[in-house]
Amino acid sequence: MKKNGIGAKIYLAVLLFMMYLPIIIVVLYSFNASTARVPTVFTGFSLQWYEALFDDQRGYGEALKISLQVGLLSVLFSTLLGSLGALGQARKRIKAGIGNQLLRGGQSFLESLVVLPIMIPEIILGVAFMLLFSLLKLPSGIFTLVIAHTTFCVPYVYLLVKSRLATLGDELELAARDLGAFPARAMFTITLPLIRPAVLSGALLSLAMSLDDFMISFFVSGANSTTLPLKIYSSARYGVSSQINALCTVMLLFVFLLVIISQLVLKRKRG
Amino acid sequence: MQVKEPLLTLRGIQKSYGDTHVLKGIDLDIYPGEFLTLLGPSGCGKTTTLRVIAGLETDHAGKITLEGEDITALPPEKRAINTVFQNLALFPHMNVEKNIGYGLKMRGMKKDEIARRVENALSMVQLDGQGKKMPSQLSGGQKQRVALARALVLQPKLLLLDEPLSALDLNLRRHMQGELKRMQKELGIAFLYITHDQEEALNMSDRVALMRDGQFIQIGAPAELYDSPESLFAAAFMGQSNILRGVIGGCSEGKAVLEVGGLSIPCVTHRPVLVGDEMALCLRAERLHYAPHPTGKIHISGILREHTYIGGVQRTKIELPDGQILLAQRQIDAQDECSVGSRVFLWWDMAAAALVPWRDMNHEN
Repeated sequence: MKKNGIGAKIYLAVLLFMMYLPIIIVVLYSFNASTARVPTVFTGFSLQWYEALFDDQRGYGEALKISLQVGLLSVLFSTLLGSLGALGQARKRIKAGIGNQLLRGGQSFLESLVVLPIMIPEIILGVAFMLLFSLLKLPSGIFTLVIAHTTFCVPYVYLLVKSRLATLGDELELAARDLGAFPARAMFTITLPLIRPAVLSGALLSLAMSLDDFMISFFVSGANSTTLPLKIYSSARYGVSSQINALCTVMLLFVFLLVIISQLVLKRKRG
Repeated sequence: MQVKEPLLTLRGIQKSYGDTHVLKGIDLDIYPGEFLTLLGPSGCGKTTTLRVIAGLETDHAGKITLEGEDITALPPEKRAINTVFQNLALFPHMNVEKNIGYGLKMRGMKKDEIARRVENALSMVQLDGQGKKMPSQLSGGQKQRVALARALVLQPKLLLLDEPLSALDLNLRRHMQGELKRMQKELGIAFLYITHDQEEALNMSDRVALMRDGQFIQIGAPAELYDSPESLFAAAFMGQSNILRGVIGGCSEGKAVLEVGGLSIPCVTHRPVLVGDEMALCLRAERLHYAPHPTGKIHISGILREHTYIGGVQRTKIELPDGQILLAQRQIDAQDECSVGSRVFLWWDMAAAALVPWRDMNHEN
């Protein structure tokens, strides 16, 4: 490898520093002993904010519970819907054969419709959901949150699983059939194990997106379904307290853990 | 062989994708224990034929029987036919043992019985002790053997092989050709082999079915196809041929004279021809001989233009008076008495040159 010049090293250091500085500050200030409402000086090391987090006077624990509930349910539904959609689409394409241009054209239009929500600005989705739910007279709550989160997670799962299926092709499943496996058996022994990493990373991505979502949740949550990002937002309006820093640090740790687990799973599969 | 009942028959198989007719009503018989090769340029419908037999193509016209039983409507898992796919299609998430045992497991066989048969299959393809490896850890040739073992362990009545050796380098391919042939003879299983490599087809097969544009052009033993092509396509596809296009100038009982650019060439013919028919004489390069002096019945001379040497073989270009170049090929033996630029006289065994209609070349493209 070519030895990098001093300029490149400085560039890299500055870039990484700029990228991680805000995060480092959040982590650092979560251990701040200062009790000022908006702490600006680091006065000493303390775990008081973590204690306060667990004592939970401000309802962060409740918000976390709701976030996790919504997240896990959305992951379940979006993973199921997205994966099944991708599988069905792949199957249909195979059946259509090479020649059927009309059907293929229709399918790519359909596919655009499925992934379009990725392009739509979140604020528009949020308003649209709010309008729809009030038209349907659905009370805002966990139910509406799950519907909205599932909707914006499905395209990601769909795209991940679809691209995995596209690289797999249909030959392996046909080979399984050729060796005597009934269609369902071929599906369960060959296709599903091979798309599992894609399904899993789709699920983890969905979880991360659901836990992280603010904009859409803002429009569809009710009085008793405040998710963690919403709670943080409402608290931060009165100043970024050190307790929020502690909460963010815990969330960061959680997300890192998710990423590490997914990487380990993928690695083991490949091995 | 031909008196036996066919193992598999195809009758009037037609398949189209949209407006493209891939198979135009083909008939084929495969006999027990034979090595039959489908040979043809890419896109001629070989692979589609194989997929139809395996049951991987639905929606085709025609009838398929296996040992007299109609299997046209049976799905692939219910046919006693297995396939070695072109890309091998090894299951990447299973080790070699599990790959080979997959079909047995699908049949509901007991674990220890599967283990025993997998063991046997592994030693048959000389992969003893490699059962725990993953496909990604194997070389190309080893993957090949696993794919073969996976299909053969099910003891199919017919094994389909779709250009299984095309990914291997030349030496390994030659070696595997020999091994495939040996295994086929030992097991007595009928093989339907697909290739676009005419040398491979001629080396390995009991019979070759030459295919073009979704139809069979000629089916026969390799020597038959090589020595008596029935069409210009067959002659041109197999081996190195000189093709002399001309018009029949005279004919009598099994003999004819072909007028080619001012030359009258005597020929023997197996088919009835008429004066004025446009025909082509196909002359294999290794059957065309030359000498400094006229010999035999054929008096055609030309100018020797070039010698080239390719691994023990000498190829010579000879220009006829009308400017056409003929290619002669022979083993390098004694000093060639003809030098470049000299006049040479051509001769060949008349029975070794096939007279075929010219016209079928027209729908070549």
